[in-house]
Amino acid sequence: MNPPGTPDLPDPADDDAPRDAAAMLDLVRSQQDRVTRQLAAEVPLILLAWGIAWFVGFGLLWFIDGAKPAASVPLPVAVAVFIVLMAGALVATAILGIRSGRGIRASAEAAFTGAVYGWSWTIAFVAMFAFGSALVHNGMAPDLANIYYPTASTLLVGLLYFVGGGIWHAKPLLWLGGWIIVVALVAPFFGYPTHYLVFSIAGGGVFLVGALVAWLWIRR
Amino acid sequence: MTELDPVIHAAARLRITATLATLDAGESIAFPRLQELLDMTAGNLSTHVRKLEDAGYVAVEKTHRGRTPVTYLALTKQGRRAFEDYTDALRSVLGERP
Repeated sequence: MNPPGTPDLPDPADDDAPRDAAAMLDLVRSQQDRVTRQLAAEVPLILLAWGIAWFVGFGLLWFIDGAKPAASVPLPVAVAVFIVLMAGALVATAILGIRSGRGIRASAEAAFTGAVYGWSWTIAFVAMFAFGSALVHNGMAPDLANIYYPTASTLLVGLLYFVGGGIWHAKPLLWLGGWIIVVALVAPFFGYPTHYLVFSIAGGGVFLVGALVAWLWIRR
Repeated sequence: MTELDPVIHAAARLRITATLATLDAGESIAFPRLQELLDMTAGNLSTHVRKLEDAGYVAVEKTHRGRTPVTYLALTKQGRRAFEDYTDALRSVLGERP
């Protein structure tokens, strides 16, 4: 096809000639496998962003009182860093999500599912904060609010991942969601401030492990 | 042995069809992204897409996003069926589960 001397030689796979059945079936499998991995290329980075946000963010909240008297992080610093890290992970997810979906136009059904799922996150978190405010308004002590907010948030994250796993038939998302639900159920029993350490290590840890597993799977 | 569909039974077109088959029915993909997933030159991809389009296996939609023209590609129902029949035929030739 290319005139002699053209530098870009045609890929052997661009060849029109049919090959034997086994080679053709291999070609189908390797191409589909390659596509799946390319479409998931941003997943490790998204998980890494959340892993860092949880591990460092909740870790710092624990350091407000958890390591006293040896060490302590001032409360405003810990809270500010926590908020910046969580917001940063959210922005990273949005950017990487858009990047991974570039050039792909969803069907009307898939677009509807995606929009409803996205709104579920917003509604869940607004409702969780409203409920927390109502509890505080009705006399919930600050000590309890320290338990309520991270636990309720973590429970919602776990549930929404779990539901996402069902919607998109993504088993890893089911495991991730299931694990995070367990973390949310266990952590509050440790009480303040150790519950922050549980969210940091067991919650942040699963995102970091997930990032590593996803990265290895894509690179294999 | 079953006759293998000559439209798909060519490496380049098989890779294109297999890639489009990973999308859900109703989804479509822009030409440059497909090119990236296949690592093919634009000219080569166009040539093969035209053959698939002529066979009624691929639907090509030219549209605009803002002021830039975009071409979206997707397997037709017929194309998806042809791909499934083709891979089924390969499997039965190789004695794998039908």
